[in-house]
Amino acid sequence: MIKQYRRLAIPYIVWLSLLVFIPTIALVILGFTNLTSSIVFSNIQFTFSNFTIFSEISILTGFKNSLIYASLTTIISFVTGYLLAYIIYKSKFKNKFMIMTLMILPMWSNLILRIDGLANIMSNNNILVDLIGFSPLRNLIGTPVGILIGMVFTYVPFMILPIYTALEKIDYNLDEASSDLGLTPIKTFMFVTFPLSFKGVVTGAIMVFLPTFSGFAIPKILSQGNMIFLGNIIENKFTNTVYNDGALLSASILLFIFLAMFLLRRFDKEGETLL
Amino acid sequence: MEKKPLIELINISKIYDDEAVVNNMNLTIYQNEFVTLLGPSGCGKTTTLRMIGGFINPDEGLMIIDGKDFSDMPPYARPINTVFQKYALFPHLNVIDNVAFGLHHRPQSYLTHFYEKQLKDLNLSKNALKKEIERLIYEDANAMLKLVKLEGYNSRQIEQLSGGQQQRVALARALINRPKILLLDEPLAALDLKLRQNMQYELKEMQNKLGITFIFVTHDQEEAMTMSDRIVVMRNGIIEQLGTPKSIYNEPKNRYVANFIGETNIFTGKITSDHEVEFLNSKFKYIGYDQFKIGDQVDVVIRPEDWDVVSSDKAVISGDVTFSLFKGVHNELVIRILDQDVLVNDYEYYQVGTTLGLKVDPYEIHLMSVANND
Amino acid sequence: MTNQVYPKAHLNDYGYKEIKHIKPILKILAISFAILMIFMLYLPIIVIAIESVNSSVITSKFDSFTLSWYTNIFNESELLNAIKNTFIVSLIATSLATVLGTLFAIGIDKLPKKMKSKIVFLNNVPILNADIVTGFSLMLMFRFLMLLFPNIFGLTTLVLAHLFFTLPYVILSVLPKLKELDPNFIDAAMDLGIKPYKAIYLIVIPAIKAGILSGMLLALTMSIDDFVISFFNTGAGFDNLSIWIYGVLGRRNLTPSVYAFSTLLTLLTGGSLILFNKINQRKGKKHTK
Repeated sequence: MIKQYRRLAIPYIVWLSLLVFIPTIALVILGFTNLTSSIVFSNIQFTFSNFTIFSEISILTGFKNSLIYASLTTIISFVTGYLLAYIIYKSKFKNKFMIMTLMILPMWSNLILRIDGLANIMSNNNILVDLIGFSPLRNLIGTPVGILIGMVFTYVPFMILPIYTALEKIDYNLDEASSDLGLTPIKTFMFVTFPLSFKGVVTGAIMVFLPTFSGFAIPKILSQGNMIFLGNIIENKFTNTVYNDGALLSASILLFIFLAMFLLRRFDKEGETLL
Repeated sequence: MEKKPLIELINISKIYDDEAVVNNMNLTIYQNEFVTLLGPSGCGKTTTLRMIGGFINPDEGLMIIDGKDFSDMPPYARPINTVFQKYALFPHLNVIDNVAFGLHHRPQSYLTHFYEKQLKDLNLSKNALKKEIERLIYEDANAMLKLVKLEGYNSRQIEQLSGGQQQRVALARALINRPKILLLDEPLAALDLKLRQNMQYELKEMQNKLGITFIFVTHDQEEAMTMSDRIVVMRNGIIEQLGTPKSIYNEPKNRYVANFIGETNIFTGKITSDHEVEFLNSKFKYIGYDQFKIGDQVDVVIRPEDWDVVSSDKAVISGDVTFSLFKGVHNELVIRILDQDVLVNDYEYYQVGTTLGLKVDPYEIHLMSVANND
Repeated sequence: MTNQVYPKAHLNDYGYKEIKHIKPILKILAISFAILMIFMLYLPIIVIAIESVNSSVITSKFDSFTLSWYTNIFNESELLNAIKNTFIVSLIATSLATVLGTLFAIGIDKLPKKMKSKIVFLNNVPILNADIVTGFSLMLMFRFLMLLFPNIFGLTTLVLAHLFFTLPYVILSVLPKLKELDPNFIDAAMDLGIKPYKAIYLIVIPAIKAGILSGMLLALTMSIDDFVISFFNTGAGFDNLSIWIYGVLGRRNLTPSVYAFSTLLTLLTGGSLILFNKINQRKGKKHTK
């Protein structure tokens, strides 16, 4: 009788097919066309010549930058994020809701305003210097460190929450069992706690890597336009209606996304840590 | 035979929220014995067990193990292993890795000493030594699985196992470390009756065979009676009585223990003459209990199975059957005598309404001084 | 009572290192680290708050403390318009996403295993997908639909786009709660004569309340601050706050009232969540009494 409820899902299946499945295919196909604003729909031609953009220096640089910064951000977020998640976990804060609140609250401020605020105090003349005489982030604007700090502290909550969720799900008895069997707290962490929290790490890494790899706002503002990132390139292509190149580059990002989804499937089937 | 004390709890107390969950407890546990902590929920038995294991530290008192003060020591340094109530098996490891876990993570020096006998005459290089020890560990793990009758389950995942199987893995995981003391925290609680009874038997056998001390916690008195060498009956953080199953059953110190250990008859009585007590308006001769004097008020305990149903001429007291239930092994009868219900277990079946006569042998009359009751 | 003195056992005797003296140091380090991290997370917000009370329009100089930017919000018509648009879109999209998402999740939960995992897989795509890719591919679809509905770009496409990426969050929040729900409840309800669709309202929804609420919260959070996807899918000058800020920022004539608004929003949201939490805690305490 409960199977009747299945019907409720049908509209959503249609929706997903229409808006996920088809556009994705369309996007990939578009990458193989010559569609720009100057070409009318009916005159579309298929070509492989678009692939030549991958040999352009600017594109390669953009790719390289995005890859390096995304990877570094993910690694730094992992180290700092895991540490914080573990500290909160060990402190036996019963209130998960408050922790979620604390992590999510910054997201309610507009991203651009936030990054602009960071850019402010990373500049030579900034408001903190004016108020209290110094700024811990002074003169970091435009530097790799500055960009990294901006990225890490914007996205580290996405690393902390899944890891904390995974840690919370570990049966407390396992800690005691491990201790009972002769393992010191450090060894217990290495051989019991960490392996069992790993799916949170995978989810967190994905949730940090993907947006930093494809984002353009943060790199644009914090590098003061001096560095090229993949996101900037795609943004440019689209706003300049060079749709086919934009689509092709987007498709290459899709590859990473599918890889990520495959990893998620492998490590966290139930999707428990995705939130 | 002089048994060596292994664990001594000296004036141990544990206080939660101004309430003493364990109250000034003194207990000595010896080598090679099966001890059970018995009592209802909240009596402090699990807390006591956890203090022995080191998972909680006592607020007062000393925990002496093997002659040394272990009160502040963490669990990993104690020569004790535990079988947890919910098994606490590692879900990310398969069965054999779970079993080998404890030994697997010991330092090289410990393992060299642990396997002294086997490694004695072998002159091995560092690498070969490591490999040999690994081999020995897994050999032991396999032997343990055989001991708990789970041979061949090596590469199963934990989630594929039933409750009973998980419990045996937990047992194997603990025993492989050859602890002097094994703690068991209500390990059979989640099993069905038949399985539980099997495991009770197996655990007792294992303890006999291995010769180590088992400290068992349960609220099921039948379980305690079946397996233990000694039982510690607890209530509200103190020990009500400590003794062999037989002595507790036959000579409960007070009403609480008497009622806890099984359904029984307790009558108010008075000593009327030399080794003679009066209850139910009749006089009964008893043996022992020399501490009671004529005129003393006593509580008389008579087990339902100790009553003999006899013909009225041999009976001391008699009354009508008000309740009769066939229980397979025996019949449970309630006989109404002088406004009191007398519980009688008998092999014969008697219908409700039948008049029966009862008598009891002198050595089956147990007395408790009224001052011991509350 | 024995007066015997027992030798104390030491960790060193058993091959372990004594860590008692390190523990307090570790604790202090941990707390400092945590405070540092949280401070860094909130640093931008602090800056925004400072700027919101800065009487100078030059963001690198602090003139004097003023609250006038807060009252000035109501004078900035463009800002108000953007705020209004943002709230309209987000509230509509979130409400739709919550209701529909819950119903969809109930349906998905009962699907046969293979289909279920396929749908959950597809469901994850909007969450993981780069904003740019989502934004652009949605725009493509809407371009096609434009052939049928010429005026679609604007509020409609925005709401649809927001719905697209908020539905998965609601579904992802609700599904685990559905999994925990005892199927016997629904069977019992049917047994008592309650129609299946009423059963959803009477039984399922109350049981998964927590999942629905956290899904709704998540959806709202994601929707309010969205920039890229909205950027590609709006039209007819229907700017939301993020798009408007991005545009104005470039032109460097950003009114500090934006900072005031942002600070207000943060305080309001934070305050409501704390309040909500306190109420929940008190409810819990009442039950245990």
